[in-house]
Amino acid sequence: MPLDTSTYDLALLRVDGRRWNELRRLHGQIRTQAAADGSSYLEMGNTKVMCVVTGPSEDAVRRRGVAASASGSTAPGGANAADVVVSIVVGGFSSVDRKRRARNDK
Amino acid sequence: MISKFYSIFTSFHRPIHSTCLCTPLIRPRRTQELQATIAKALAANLHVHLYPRSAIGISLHVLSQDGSLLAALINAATLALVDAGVPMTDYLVACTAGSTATHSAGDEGADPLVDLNTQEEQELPFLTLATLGATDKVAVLVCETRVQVSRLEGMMASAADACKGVRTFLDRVVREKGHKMVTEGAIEKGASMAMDIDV
Repeated sequence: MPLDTSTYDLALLRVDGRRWNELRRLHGQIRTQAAADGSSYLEMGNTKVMCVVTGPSEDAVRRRGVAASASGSTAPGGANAADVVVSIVVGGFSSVDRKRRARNDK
Repeated sequence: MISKFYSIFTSFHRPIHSTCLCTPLIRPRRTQELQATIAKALAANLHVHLYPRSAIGISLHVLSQDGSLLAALINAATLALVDAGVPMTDYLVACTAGSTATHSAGDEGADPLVDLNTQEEQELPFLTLATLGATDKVAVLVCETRVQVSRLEGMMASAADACKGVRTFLDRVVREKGHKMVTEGAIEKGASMAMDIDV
């Protein structure tokens, strides 16, 4: 069956064939790692991301100490509220051309 | 209902000789910037006051990148936090939007694009917008490229619209998993289950 071009203007398609307000293929899973407190895997098109959540745990603050405040955490202390500590690892294989990372790139 | 609005508008000029390396995928300090953005946005959305003197660790691994990285990271973190059972106001969902309109071409009315891939991100001005669930409450707005102010509103509106679609998707993932766990007997069906599930 041919495409109905009256409602589907081919001239306004993007390079990957989507229309302007169209999302890429979404795929998601939760509880991918049984041992973790929380985990997920998400694909937005060819962007693929995995997430693992630990906590809320009490001793983590003591153990991490300075390290927590160094990375992307919220307000220090955490006497009244939990600290949210985010760490991102970018795989060297993640982009098409493998790049050597600069020495000062954390 | 919290309504946090914080934006990071950074404009920087790269020296000409480095344009061959200008793929903004991994810049120095790039991941730290992302970490801080995500941590602040999530801390505002999560009910962190319920857990004094504790920490919530979120470890994100990028396996493959093809545009909308920050958006994907925020969405993945939201999913994992739902799995961990951390109370939150609503899903924090993110999406990108870019603009193809150029002043010289006189196509000011051109539609903005949503959910950009790497190629589009490199060619067009774009922003990443995160909203609280299906509402229009903006939690994160990151724009690292130069963009005309007149285009900003349209980009934000279409990004917010796309966020609604992403929220529907994330909600479906959570509900399908919950349904599967109940039907497979992984968790007890009890009075605490408010979900209406037909087994």
